[in-house]
Amino acid sequence: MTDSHWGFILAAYLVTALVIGGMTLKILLDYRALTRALGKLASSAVVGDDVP
Amino acid sequence: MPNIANPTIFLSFVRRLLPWSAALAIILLTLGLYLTFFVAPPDYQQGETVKIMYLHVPAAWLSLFIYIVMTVAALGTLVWRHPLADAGQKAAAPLGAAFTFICLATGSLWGKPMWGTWWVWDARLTSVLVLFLIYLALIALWQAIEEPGRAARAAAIMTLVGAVNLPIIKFSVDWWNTLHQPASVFRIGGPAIAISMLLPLIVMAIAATFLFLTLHMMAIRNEILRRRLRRLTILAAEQSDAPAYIAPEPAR
Repeated sequence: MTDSHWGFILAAYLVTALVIGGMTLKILLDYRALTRALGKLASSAVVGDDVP
Repeated sequence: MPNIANPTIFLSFVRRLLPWSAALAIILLTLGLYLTFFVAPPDYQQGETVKIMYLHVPAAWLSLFIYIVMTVAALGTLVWRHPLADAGQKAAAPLGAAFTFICLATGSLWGKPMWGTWWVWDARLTSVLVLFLIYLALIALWQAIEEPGRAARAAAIMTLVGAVNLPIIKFSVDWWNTLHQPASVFRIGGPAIAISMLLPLIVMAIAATFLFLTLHMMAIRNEILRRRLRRLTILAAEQSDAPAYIAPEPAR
């Protein structure tokens, strides 16, 4: 084993961090978008802005 | 005990459990990375490259575990037609694809310095690639069918068919002559790894499992909210499209 293999080790940890970080971010952004949309729908139902 | 199969009760259950599960995942991951980089010794043959094992093996275990979770959820969809089972299998598919991708990518990055090649079409590698493609096909199926109930039933049937691949992956290294090494942790006669390497591996595997459970709960919560949003949007559209009530003219 030589130090030249550290590139492979770092690449493996980097790929894993990117995939897990990206997945977590996607789920969090999805949650934010859904709660916003539900909040908007609820407020429009209360105000009744579907009435012309 | 509360019925957490009820989506509303499940949401409040998730709200209470999520901080603990996320904290546990972060603590275990920190501990696992510390053990990996500062305690675990280099392998006598592979040297420091063995550090890739602490990512590759937990990802490989999870790629199978998540598919088992999806198979159980698929049975829940087909047998009991339970909406939470639908949400469970839909939420798990992207996570399964992600962990299988990590398994394939880290395996490739481990294989190049150790085997001298990024990839070989041997039974273990090919069957895991098939698992990855099944995950992608399931994600595509969920996207292709708009009505959630129909999509869930179609995905459940495909998940059950794809489960045939699980024993093939597990026993591929025993049934065929492969470049991939045979099982070295779950084997008859006990683990073939030294305890100084086994301990960090187990901690990383438990950390990855808690990470999956945390992300899965968050993703199921999103699916429940998405269904609620869809139902309310349809309801609002139906109400706004309904013809105004016209009182009949009195008879003359």
